[in-house]
Amino acid sequence: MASSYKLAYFDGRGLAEISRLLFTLAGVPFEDIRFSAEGEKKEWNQAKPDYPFEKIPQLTVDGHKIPQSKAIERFLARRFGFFGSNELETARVDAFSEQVRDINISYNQARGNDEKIAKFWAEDFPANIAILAKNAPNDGHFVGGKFSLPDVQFYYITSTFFTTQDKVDAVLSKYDNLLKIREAVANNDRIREYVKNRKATPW
Amino acid sequence: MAYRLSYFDGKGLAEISRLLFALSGTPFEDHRISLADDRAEWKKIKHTYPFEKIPQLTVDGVHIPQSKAIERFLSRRFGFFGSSEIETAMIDGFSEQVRDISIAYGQARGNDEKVAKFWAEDFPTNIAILAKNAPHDGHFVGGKFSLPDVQFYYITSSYFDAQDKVDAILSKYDNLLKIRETVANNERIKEYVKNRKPTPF
Repeated sequence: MASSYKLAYFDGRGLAEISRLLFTLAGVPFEDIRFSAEGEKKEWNQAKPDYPFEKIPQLTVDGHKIPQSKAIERFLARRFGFFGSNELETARVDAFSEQVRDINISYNQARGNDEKIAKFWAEDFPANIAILAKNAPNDGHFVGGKFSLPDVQFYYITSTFFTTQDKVDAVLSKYDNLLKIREAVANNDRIREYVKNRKATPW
Repeated sequence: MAYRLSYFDGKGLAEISRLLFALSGTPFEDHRISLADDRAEWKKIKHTYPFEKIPQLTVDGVHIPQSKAIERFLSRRFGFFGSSEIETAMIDGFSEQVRDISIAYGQARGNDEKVAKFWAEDFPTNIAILAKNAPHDGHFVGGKFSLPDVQFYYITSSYFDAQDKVDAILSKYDNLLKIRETVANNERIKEYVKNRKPTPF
């Protein structure tokens, strides 16, 4: 019997969007629970007692409550065949995933500080992208010639996450293999349909 | 199965992996790169590392970069990452919750005000969530050792200089103290820590 999935988050992309993209890419239905992010977040505060880790996103799978956006992403990726077919391939997928995540981690350390943000765009982001480009194949996917978690995470962070999209594209334009990976996700029919119908939110 | 773990001569981002090897009783080549002369040795060999970063795990010739991918790979190998998809996800959830401590500290460090807020708010809040969800049997999941047990032990006993601040908050939670203790009192971990050479980090 197919599992039933509930993904709860705020009414925005944020830390849940990669999971929503995974469901979409896999063609798996899920209940997309969204709490209003406005004002005092009353809806969320009222619902909080049902959330053991008092945080969202939370994935509920057949009654089991899974917290933490990255644990959720890896769980879904495993379920949907986006996390490698053997231990070593899984480790490689996981490593690319962590390399992509390093982009968020360094940006979050820089945000709010103009000098650090300038250094992020001038050094950290290009250096990270160069490593990804050095190790990525040229077939539109990071590992195994098929969709895996880092493909989706990379697509998200290089097309939807940053407001300064021009800075992203300037760096990415040097690397055909990475552009190809972003494109392979962006041009997927399910992803295209999902993005076309996605309601616009501030984040 | 031959394992080689390459990192600087220090605990840093490799120590949790070393602890996993120790706990499981698995031998590995503890390849340490000197910090001397402004990391001259690393600068020389960096380009031979595909992601140009350490730690890197080499398993029968295959290179795996990224400390967290390495930790999860080893955990899976050693039976520290759950026996079902759901159990794995819960272990991963606790692991990410523990990791949030390092991430929050990484965002605060260097800024006195932010560090003060970390100790006053972020760290206690995170610990309270762990305490609320952890069982009382000395382990986070399944009544046996799993990755977050080791990560939690490391970050609450070897990572921070301000150990007193850590202990002040932890002292409120018997179940968490028990988890840290279960790792600390493990014979293999005790032996490993006893023989571990002191390093600057």
